[in-house]
Parts: sequence; C-alpha cells; structure tokens
Amino acid sequence: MTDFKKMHRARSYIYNFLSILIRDEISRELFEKLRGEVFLQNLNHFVSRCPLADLKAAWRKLLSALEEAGPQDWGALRWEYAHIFYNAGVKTVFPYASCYLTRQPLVRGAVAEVRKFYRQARVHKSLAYDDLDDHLAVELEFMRYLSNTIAAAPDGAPEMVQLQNKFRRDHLMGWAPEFCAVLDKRATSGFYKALAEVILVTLFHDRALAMEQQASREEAFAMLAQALTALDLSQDLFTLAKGLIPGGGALGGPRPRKRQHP
Amino acid sequence: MELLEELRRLNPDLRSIAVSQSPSLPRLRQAISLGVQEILFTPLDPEELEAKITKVVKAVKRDLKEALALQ
Repeated sequence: MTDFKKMHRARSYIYNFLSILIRDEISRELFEKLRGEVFLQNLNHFVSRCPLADLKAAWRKLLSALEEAGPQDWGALRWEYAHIFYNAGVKTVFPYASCYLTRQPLVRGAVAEVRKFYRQARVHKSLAYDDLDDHLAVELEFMRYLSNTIAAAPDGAPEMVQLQNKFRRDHLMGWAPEFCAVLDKRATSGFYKALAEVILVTLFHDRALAMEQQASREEAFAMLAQALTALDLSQDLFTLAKGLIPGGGALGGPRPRKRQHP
Repeated sequence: MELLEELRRLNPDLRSIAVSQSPSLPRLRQAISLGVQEILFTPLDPEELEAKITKVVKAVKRDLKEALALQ
C-alpha cells in the first residue's frame, strides 16, 4: 500500500536537490558533500538498485561525473555555470520559462502565469532572491514546497495535489524538457550534461507517478530521496517566501550580480 | 522521426506535436531540430493533449492572419 506522506516527502527532497543545483553556482561546501564518500556510496546504492532503467542511467551519469571530479574541478564547475547561465554568448542557456514559452530571448511573458500558481499556494518569489519568478530553480522549489505541504497536511491537501498537477501539466512540462535538451547540448562538463538528463528523467517519472501509481516508481523515488539525505540540504525556502504580497512580487531583475571567479 | 522529417520536407510550415514514450534527450533534441512545436509524454493526459492542440491551432491562425495582413 502506498505511503502517501512518505512519497511526497521523497519528492520534496528530490525537487529541493534539483532546485539547489540549478539556482546558482555550486558552493564549495556542497561540492565537497557531493564528492564525499557517504553521498557517493548512497548514490551508488540507489543506482545499483533503481528499478527504472532510464532513471538509473541518468543518475549513474551524475554519479560518474562526481566520482571523476577532483578538488580542482569546483572552480571549473563554477565557471561553467556562469558561462552557460549568465554570459550572453552562443552557449547561453536561459533558465527562464518565458524564453521557451514565448520564443523570445528574454521576456517576462511567463512571470504573470507562474505568479498565479504561486498565489494559489499562498507563496511568492522571495524578494531576497535576485532573479525572476520563472527561473527553473524557483519553479522546482515550488514543486518541492507543494510536495512538502501535501506530505505535512493531515488530509493530504487535495487542493494542493490538484494545484501541483496543474502547474506541472500546464506550465512546467511545457518548457522544462526543452531547457534540458538545450542544457545537454551546450554544457561541456559531464556534470551539467548529467544534470540535464537527471532533471528531464526525474520530471518524466514524477509526472507519470502523479498519473498512475506504480510501485517501482514509488520505490525508486523513496530510495533516491534516501540517498540525498546524506547531503543534509537546508530545508528552508530560498527562492520562495510564504504569504502574499501586493502584485505577487517585484518585477525586477535579473540584475547583474557581482561575481568573482577563481 | 523519419516520417516527420519527410513531412517537413514536403511542407516546411508543418506544425507538429510529438509524443514521447521515454525521456530521451537525443530524441528530444531531434524533435526540436525538426521544428516540433509541442512535446507530450506518455501516459497521455487528454486535457493536456487538447491544450497543446489548441495552442498549435491558435499559432497557425495567428500566423495566417499575419500573412494575410502582409498581402
């Protein structure tokens, strides 16, 4: 029998991990944890037992990239993140829904759309997070927030389940797969190529899990979440904040950030 | 994909919606390069399919309107 709360908690962990990796350059602390023996063992355990072939293959690629990474690769990964997500060159990968849904380089067409979803869950893009509401990291954190809310609600928050399904179906899946394809094409490191595949495959199975309960998917997600616990990721909201604000959020950004690269 | 490639050759303005049974990045990239407007994954959701068709039809109508306005 399905452990409803456990499944949604697992989904929350997974979305948290994906959101963190896509929202900024990897911190040294996270990089060391990712390369740490405990996490690699956990991930290896998951990969060797995962019953879903494509999920297993995608996460195996991420595992391989991490196993091959040396201490010096932290700087290279930061460079690559900045290169593909910040630099306006030919290799740029826009992590914003608007770019894919409107086919324009950088517009705010999807910002109003995502804000409607955020408002329904009584959250908004955190003003402290200096980027747009339709950044993939915010949307993945929204999925995480909803999963967490569903897991914590005594009645299973059916209205939040419905909202999450609608957000996934009507918005997130309308652009995230293409983003993954572009990221895979333009990334040069094994890590970001693997991340593109991991996001796509995880979204695919999460959608399928919502549509048809399947023991193998639930088992895989539970094992994956268990592997991710070794990272001891912060459970605080980062890109989102609770409550409603007039207008749904400031229409600023993304503003240039001061960055120093090694 | 071969069929889509051939259809696009016959009609470069063809609008298409691809349905994928698996989350394969190479297939996804191929579909995008062939100009697929929308991508759906299985299991199919009838509401999602309807929404995608509506979106593509709207885009066709908009393009036709723009083309007629230019004449």
